[in-house]
Amino acid sequence: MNMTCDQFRDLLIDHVEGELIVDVQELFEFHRTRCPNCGAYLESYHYTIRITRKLPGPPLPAEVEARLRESLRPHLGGGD
Amino acid sequence: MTDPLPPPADADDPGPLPDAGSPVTPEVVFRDYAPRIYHIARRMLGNDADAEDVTQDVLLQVIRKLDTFRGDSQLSTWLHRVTVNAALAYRQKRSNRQRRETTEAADEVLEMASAAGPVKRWAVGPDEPVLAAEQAAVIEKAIGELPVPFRDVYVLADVEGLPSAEIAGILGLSVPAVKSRLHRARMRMRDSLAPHFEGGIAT
Ligand SMILES: [Zn+2]
Repeated sequence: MNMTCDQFRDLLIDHVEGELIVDVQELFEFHRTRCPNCGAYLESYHYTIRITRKLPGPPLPAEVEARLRESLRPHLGGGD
Repeated sequence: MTDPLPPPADADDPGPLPDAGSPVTPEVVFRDYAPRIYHIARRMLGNDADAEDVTQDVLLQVIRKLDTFRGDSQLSTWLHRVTVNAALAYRQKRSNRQRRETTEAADEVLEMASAAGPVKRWAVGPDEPVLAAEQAAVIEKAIGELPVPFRDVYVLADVEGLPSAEIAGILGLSVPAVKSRLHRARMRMRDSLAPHFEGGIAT
């Protein structure tokens, strides 16, 4: 049974989580190797996830930290 | 999943978080969690001042209940929940005040490139991506443009790295609903990033 491009896209999330059952995974791979559009789509979908994961959690801006420490001062003492 | 770089060593740094069972002090909570709370709230609310208010509220709640936590992982889960709830409540308050917030319809339609059109291959290698500053700005902007229900799930799943089950618990959704939103958010993000990463047409 062939898989359509729409069906392929619907399965992407389960594919990247490794949650497709074996039979479906085979159909998925079959479609991927024969459909350049879906092959390129899968790569870019996966890349989107991986590069988003690289977003830095930048440090707290210094002035934000200073204001927060000031307002929380009664609670922060006596730690460490 | 990769860990963030460790913070630089510092003479005043009391070291990593204590293991489960050790007491976590308010100062440790502030140092280790305030940035995460702030950035989740900032991405969810799209506003620095609101994120600061939420961060203060959440830290206060966490510090007050600190002695009820037995370890870091339990604290981390609870903290995500409190942060998201505080951000959602803040957003609700703000929309009541301004009456101009976008719809929160759970199954809002997301415009997506059709599966029928040609897909350009991205000019990226197979290696782990390296994030340049201009790419980070492009991604942050695309996240900010996601409709709210999709943005929440995307931030928690793909920025923060929380599992779908945990997000489902936090947002009061089923796991399939979380995955459906996440999938659509990712496709929309892919479309937004595509012009910045595309190379030639796939052949
Ligand atoms: Zn296809």
